[in-house]
Amino acid sequence: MLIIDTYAYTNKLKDTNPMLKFFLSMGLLFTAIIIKNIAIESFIIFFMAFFTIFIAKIPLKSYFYMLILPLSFLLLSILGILISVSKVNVNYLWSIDLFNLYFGISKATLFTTKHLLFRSISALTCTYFLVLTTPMNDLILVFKKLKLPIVFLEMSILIYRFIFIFLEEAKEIHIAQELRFGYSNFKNSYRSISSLIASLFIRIFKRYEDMKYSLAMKGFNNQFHI
Amino acid sequence: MIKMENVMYKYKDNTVALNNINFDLDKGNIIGLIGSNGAGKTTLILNCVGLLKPNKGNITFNKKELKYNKKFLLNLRNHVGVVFQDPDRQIFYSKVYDDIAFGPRNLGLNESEVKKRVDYALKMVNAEKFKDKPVHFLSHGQKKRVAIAGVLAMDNDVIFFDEPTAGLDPDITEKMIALLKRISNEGKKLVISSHDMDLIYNLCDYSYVLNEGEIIGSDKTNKIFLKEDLINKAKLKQPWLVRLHKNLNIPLFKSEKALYSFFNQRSESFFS
Ligand SMILES: Nc1ncnc2c1ncn2[C@@H]1O[C@H](COP(=O)(O)OP(=O)(O)OP(=O)(O)O)[C@@H](O)[C@H]1O
Ligand SMILES: [Mg+2]
Repeated sequence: MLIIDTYAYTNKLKDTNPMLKFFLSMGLLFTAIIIKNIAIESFIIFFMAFFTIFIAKIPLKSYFYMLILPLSFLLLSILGILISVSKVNVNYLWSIDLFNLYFGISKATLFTTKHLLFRSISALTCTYFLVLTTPMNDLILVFKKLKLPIVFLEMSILIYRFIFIFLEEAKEIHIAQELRFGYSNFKNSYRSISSLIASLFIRIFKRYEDMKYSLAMKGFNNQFHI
Repeated sequence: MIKMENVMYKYKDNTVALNNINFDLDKGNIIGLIGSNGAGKTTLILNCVGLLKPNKGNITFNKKELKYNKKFLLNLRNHVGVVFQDPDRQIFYSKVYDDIAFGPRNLGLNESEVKKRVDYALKMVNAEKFKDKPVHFLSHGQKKRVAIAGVLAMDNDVIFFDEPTAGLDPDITEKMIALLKRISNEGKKLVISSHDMDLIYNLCDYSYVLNEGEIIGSDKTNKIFLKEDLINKAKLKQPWLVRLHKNLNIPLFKSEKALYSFFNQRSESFFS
């Protein structure tokens, strides 16, 4: 249902030791953040992308599409850093003059932007490597071995399960609406989406009630064991 | 075991969902609870296990009146389990093993005992093949088996099944019937709620007929289904084997198999 989740369970590295994958990707991620060296960062990007595409065999096209979304946010925000505004034209490499203000790129901003870009992309490829090759349940075991707080583990387990319950519920309502032309034009879509949210809310509450019953039947004592 | 006397239950919106219910688990080993949609089957089960508290009447467990404190309820639920209709509302972990182990772990068992119980439950429901898949990749029928395994691992003496075959295809339904028989053979008492008359006729030795919150009849299964008026009043239909018996004037068979072997023998003697 979620493309990343599906790949996590089907990629060629799914059975590799999760601890290894975790430390590889997190190690490289921290290296990229700490060491400000474009050569090393480029190497990490190349290395992680290579592993994800050629070793774990995540299709190039989907990998690319998955990168596009965060990258577009990244590029937009980087544009804001890259271009600076001032009243006088000082050491701009390139600038334009609009309404008595200078919009331009200076040496300093160019430098920061370049590093920021490489660092973010390398962090992104490291994270993608981890989430695309490691099933969530393995990841939770890693967290457990690392002795993360129980609350965090319980939350991860429950959230992970409930994301899919929520999505299935939403999908069911959406299909029911679509089959009755709920999304045939703008006005209908508008109305359908509001009733989707409303009934999702009611259904989730009903589910919560029923789940309380099954928790009680299984002798739940305020702890989700792992 | 569990017994209800003159139980009345009213939901908060004043719907009287159960009225004057007398229900006794000692009447049979596999007890059927039949009734059309909204008859009150689920409400009755919830009252039996102390999840809802009746407004009138009393419920006893091993001759002791139900108390609604933590200690009493924990003990009750150690003996009684419920498999609810929708598996998604009973599965809390996306890992099959952890979900089945949830109940036993709550009981405070050590991990080796937990593992024994989980393996036993997985084997009972034939879920070994998909036990390593995440729950959201399983089909409805597979999730249902996981939910049943989760209850089996609790090792209760009595298990309530609310509509065990709803939403299952014919093949999986057959397997579910076999599973229910297997569980019964392990010495557990079952209560099966359903509006699938053939299922109840096939499995149960005693049945209660529920209609609009009241029990309008109860008897041994092979007798109760002969009462056509009663079944019609409950907006239900007689099992097909009973209808054959009535309309074609052939003997009453308990199962399809018995019917076929009877006719096979007859035709053999006819041809020879
Ligand atoms: N939470 C609730 N609040 C108010 N009324 C309810 C609630 N749950 C059930 N009812 C009502 O109580 C009656 C019995 O419902 P119940 O769910 O026990 O029936 P059922 O026999 O299990 O039906 P089904 O075969 O559809 O599951 C119905 O009239 C129903 O509308
Ligand atoms: Mg019901």
